[in-house]
Amino acid sequence: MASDPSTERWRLWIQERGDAFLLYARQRTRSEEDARDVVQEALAESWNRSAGEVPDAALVYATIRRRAIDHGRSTDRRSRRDAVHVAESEAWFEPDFSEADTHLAVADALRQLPDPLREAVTLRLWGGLRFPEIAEITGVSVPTATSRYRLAIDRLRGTLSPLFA
Amino acid sequence: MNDPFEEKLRALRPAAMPAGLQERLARPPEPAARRPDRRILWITFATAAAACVTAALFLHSSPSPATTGGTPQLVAERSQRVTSVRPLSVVTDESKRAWRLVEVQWVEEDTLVAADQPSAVQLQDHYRTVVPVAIHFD
Repeated sequence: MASDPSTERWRLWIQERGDAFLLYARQRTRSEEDARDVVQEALAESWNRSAGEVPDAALVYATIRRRAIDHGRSTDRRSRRDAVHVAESEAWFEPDFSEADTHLAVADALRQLPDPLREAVTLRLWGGLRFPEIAEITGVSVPTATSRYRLAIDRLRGTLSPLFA
Repeated sequence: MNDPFEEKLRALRPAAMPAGLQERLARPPEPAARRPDRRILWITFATAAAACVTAALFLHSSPSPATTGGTPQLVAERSQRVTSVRPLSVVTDESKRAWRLVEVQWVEEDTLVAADQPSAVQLQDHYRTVVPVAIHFD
């Protein structure tokens, strides 16, 4: 089935980046449903703002972050009886089939990090962003974003080194 | 990024999107319908209303140079000048376009001069409106 260029660009973009966008959204929202909604809305908004061209990844992450905050506020106003923290219900990484289940250990170690550190390391390692982009998205200076990342890596190294030895 | 530890972390692949979300994202979104922002509508309405009031006042209060029997002949002179331009705030519409709201105050002066006497009367009307001005980032 032939598809128009716009659809093809969209498909390739989602294929390349979609999983990392969802990973970030899962870390920024309280429920899996919120994460999926946030990703869908952010992708649509970014795509439209870029007039049908592939948006800059930093723009998408910034949009995910803003929309996740909005979702969090609306959730606060609603009953939370249905809220299930995604961290306990959804896998963050594909299985690596190692004996140590590295993917689970890394996810657990990430969950132990404070939000700003986890955000910096996620945007850097799996989002592929540069420190100036991370700084702009998170609203801090570049040195702060860099130091957050370094601190996160140091903490993860302390926790995960035995697995990677 | 040459740290082997960081490379091992980065080698982990984020979990794949669930089928439901993939299905929702199978096609690019339709372009969002351009709905006028409510704030812009309000500003437009307010500006239009101010313009109507100004026009009505102008038509109503235009001095007449006409003379009637027994009354002095008057020559009218009208002038307008801006007295104040004050930026109030910056708002954004749905398309994230930034607008600066500017308060403009101006005065209209009508000077009535008697043609045959060295006397004059000056009338002043003060007006105020808020105008949205698009901000361009080049």
